[in-house]
Amino acid sequence: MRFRTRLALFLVATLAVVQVLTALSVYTFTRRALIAQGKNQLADAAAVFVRQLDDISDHTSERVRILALDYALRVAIAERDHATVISALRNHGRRINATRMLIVELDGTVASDTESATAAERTFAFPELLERATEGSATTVVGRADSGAWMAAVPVLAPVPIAFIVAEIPLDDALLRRLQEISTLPKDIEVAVENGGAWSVIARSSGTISMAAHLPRPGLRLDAEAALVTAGDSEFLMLATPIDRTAQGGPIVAVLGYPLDAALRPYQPVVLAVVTLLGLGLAGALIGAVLIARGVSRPVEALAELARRFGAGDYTPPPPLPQRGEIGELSSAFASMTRAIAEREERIQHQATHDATTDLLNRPAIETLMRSRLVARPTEQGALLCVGLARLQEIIETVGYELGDRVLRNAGLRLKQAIGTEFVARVSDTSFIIWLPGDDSEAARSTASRIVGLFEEPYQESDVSIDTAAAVGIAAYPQHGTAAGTLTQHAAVALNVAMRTDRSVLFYDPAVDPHRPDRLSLMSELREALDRDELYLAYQPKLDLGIGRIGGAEALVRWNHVKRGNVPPDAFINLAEETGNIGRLTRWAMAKGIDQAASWAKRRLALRLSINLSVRDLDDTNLPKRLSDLLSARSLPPKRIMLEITESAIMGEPDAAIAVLRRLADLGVDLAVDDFGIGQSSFAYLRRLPVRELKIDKTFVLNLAESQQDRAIVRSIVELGHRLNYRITAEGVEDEPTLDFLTEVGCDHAQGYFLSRPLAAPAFDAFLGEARWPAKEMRAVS
Amino acid sequence: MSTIQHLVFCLFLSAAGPVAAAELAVLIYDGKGVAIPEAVVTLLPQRLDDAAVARSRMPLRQTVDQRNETFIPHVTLLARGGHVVFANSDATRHHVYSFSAARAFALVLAPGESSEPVSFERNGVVAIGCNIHDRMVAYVYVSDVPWGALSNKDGRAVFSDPPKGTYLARVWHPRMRPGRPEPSQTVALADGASSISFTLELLPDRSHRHDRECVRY
Repeated sequence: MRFRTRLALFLVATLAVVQVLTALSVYTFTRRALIAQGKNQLADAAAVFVRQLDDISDHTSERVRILALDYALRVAIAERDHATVISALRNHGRRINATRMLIVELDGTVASDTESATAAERTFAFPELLERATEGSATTVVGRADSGAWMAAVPVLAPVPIAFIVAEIPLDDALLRRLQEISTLPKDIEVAVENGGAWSVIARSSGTISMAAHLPRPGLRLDAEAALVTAGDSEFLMLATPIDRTAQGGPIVAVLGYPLDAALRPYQPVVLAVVTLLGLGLAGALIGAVLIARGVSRPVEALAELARRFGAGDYTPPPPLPQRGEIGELSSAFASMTRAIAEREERIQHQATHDATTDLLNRPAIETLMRSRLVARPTEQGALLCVGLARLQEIIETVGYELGDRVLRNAGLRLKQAIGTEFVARVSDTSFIIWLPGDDSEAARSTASRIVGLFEEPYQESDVSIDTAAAVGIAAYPQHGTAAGTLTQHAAVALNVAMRTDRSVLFYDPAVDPHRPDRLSLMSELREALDRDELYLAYQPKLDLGIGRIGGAEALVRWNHVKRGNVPPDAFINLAEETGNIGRLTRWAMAKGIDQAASWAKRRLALRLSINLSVRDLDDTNLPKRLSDLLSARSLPPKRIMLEITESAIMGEPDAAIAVLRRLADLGVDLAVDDFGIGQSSFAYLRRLPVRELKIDKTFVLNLAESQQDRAIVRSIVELGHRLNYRITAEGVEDEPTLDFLTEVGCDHAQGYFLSRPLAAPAFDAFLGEARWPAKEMRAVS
Repeated sequence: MSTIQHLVFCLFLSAAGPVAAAELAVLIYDGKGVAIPEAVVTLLPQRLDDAAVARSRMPLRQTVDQRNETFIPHVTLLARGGHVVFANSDATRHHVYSFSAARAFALVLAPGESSEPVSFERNGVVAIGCNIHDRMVAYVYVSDVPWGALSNKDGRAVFSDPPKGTYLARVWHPRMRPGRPEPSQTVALADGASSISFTLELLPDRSHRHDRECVRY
């Protein structure tokens, strides 16, 4: 919940609770006071009412007594003049509001009755009343089923009692109203009598509430105090009091009521005023709370919005908030924080995207720029130039990093000034890349040439002059890649190739890219192929020219790929060398070859098998031991195996590799130098190695029939080799004249398609059987 | 009470002698033992064949005065056939009347005036009032019994001359509840004094009731 809402809610709720509690307690106290007051009033009123009834009773009996003194009436009664008595009774009855008058004999029989002409011989119903009346006068209240009345009995004195006059005066609604008019009785009065086990109302005042129904059943004790009664939606206090304890014909009670609603009515304006005040107070509190809360929450919300903006990287300084106090301080703190963060972020951003040495962009930064450019204009051409400084590594090693850094910085400056683009980045210790958006290959090439020209000028610094040379690899968009990463990678590949081949500008060529992905997958497949035995050895026969028989074979690895078919050996052997897998390949080839050589030896064929070693194999100091183990496992004499190493591989190898070669030679295995004649080896160097044979490179042999020059070379090699005690083998023999020439010059062995292409083992066996050159056989051991 | 009566009776028997007359005292009390004055006691001999005994000794002529709005005396004994003269000693008129069955009459007496004698020919209690003054009540006890007497303020009625013999003693008082038989006792009179007593239940004395009119005027 928001602060503003919370504050407003809290204030309003507090005020509301206090006000409601106040109103409730005022109401409760008022109500309680009213009830207490009502009870008192009812008790007083009941006493007054009963006293008034008593007064009426006295008054009535007094009037009847006076009536009874009427001489004429007494004469008529004494003389039993019935008709006169009745008429006189009626006459006098009207004077006192009586509804019925009777004359009762002293013995209790009714002598005359205004309601009945033949009343004689009937016994008066209330002898007790007469009993009391004997002593002067007596009254009682008589309750009947649906009416009530006072009955006053007075003896007729003549001058001693001769009879009783009984007058009946109704206790009815009219009487109650008259009483209410002359006194301050409550509005609600009922007079009830018992009627068949329930209370029956015989008189009711002008009031509106009906109370007798809430009385305890007749016979039960009446409450001494007023009781609170809820009937429907009205509430009233009610007090019942017996009217006359001498009542005849069943109990009779007066019920007085005090309606609370009516009593509370005078307080209604107060309630209205309280409610109005409550509402005004709440409204005021709400407005006040909202205003106060807004004073706090508005700036807080503004600051929160600001913080969100910062989070999103927008560091526009906020307009100062007009607040004073804590919020103002917070606001200015925010402002200074914003500036500090913006500066820091700018610095960090710069450091993250720039090279510290040259202050050029770094690779991720330029790739990001390129990506956005490529996304914005995907159809536009472009070129990525990778500029490498040759010899820079050596320079750094010579003159130190400080100067090296300055050279680099200068190089970056030169590139930037010359190209006039911001898309210049340093990507490695010695290389830069330049993105040329919109340039086609030709434009890129000319720019590259310009860059190469830039670095023909040496770097000058006081007394130092440093000469660097630049090479440029170019990857064109979209031909050489559509992603920024691919382009930089391919440009770097092109640069590497260029530097290796001493060219200054080179476009990327997928064919020579050693890092093509399909090569990598090929490599993993090669490992699987080794495990699954998909490789096999092919054997190309070597003809012993001295005896005209096959004296050996060169084992060549072949890969019959399940999906790709026959994979060219160059493809996977170079790959295996580059990826460090050549050791496994060599071990496999040695094992297979030795198996084959052993099988030939078993058949008493004097064939020597040549197995190629990679220069990388010489790093493996266990190689001699491994070979020795294989030979002894097959009981194969070491002279049946020859190991071939290319001339270029041997050159410049460290002493450790030479030591391995020596140990191999010590096993009794002959070593041959392959591809002899195209490298820079010298016989002086070769003499240090335990080499027994030289294989003349096929470039000298292929055109031997036509080329006088080649013939001279081959003849010289053979002669010189023989003088130095080397055996000589010629590769690439493809025609008979070549074979004849080689025989003529005394070359030891010939190998080539003219004899046979490399053959799988069964085919090789067949070749030995059918060929014009039978295999050299072992001499019988004598 | 009966024990006492029996004892008294025994005394009479033991004292019986040739004396011709006895004396009887009748004492009248109310339930609280308070002496009741103005009670009428009558003696009726068992044997009425003796003319000497049966002869009435009740007064034949009486006067009832009215003074201070009061009949004086309050109770008057009268032999049957006797007469009563009503006198008016007040300065106001009196309207004397009776509705009693024994004798009904009415007469108006001017101040100082006396009435003609009013004869009472039937036995009974005649209640007499004044129609002007409601409080005024007097009784004339008319009877043909030989002896009658009123109790004095000590509640004592004395008969000094009845001869020995057996009598029925009866008592009546104005404040006795109307419609009830008069209490009576059989008493045997011998020589010398004897006495009997009656205890009466009386209605409250209403003549002394608080009278507002009297107070005011």
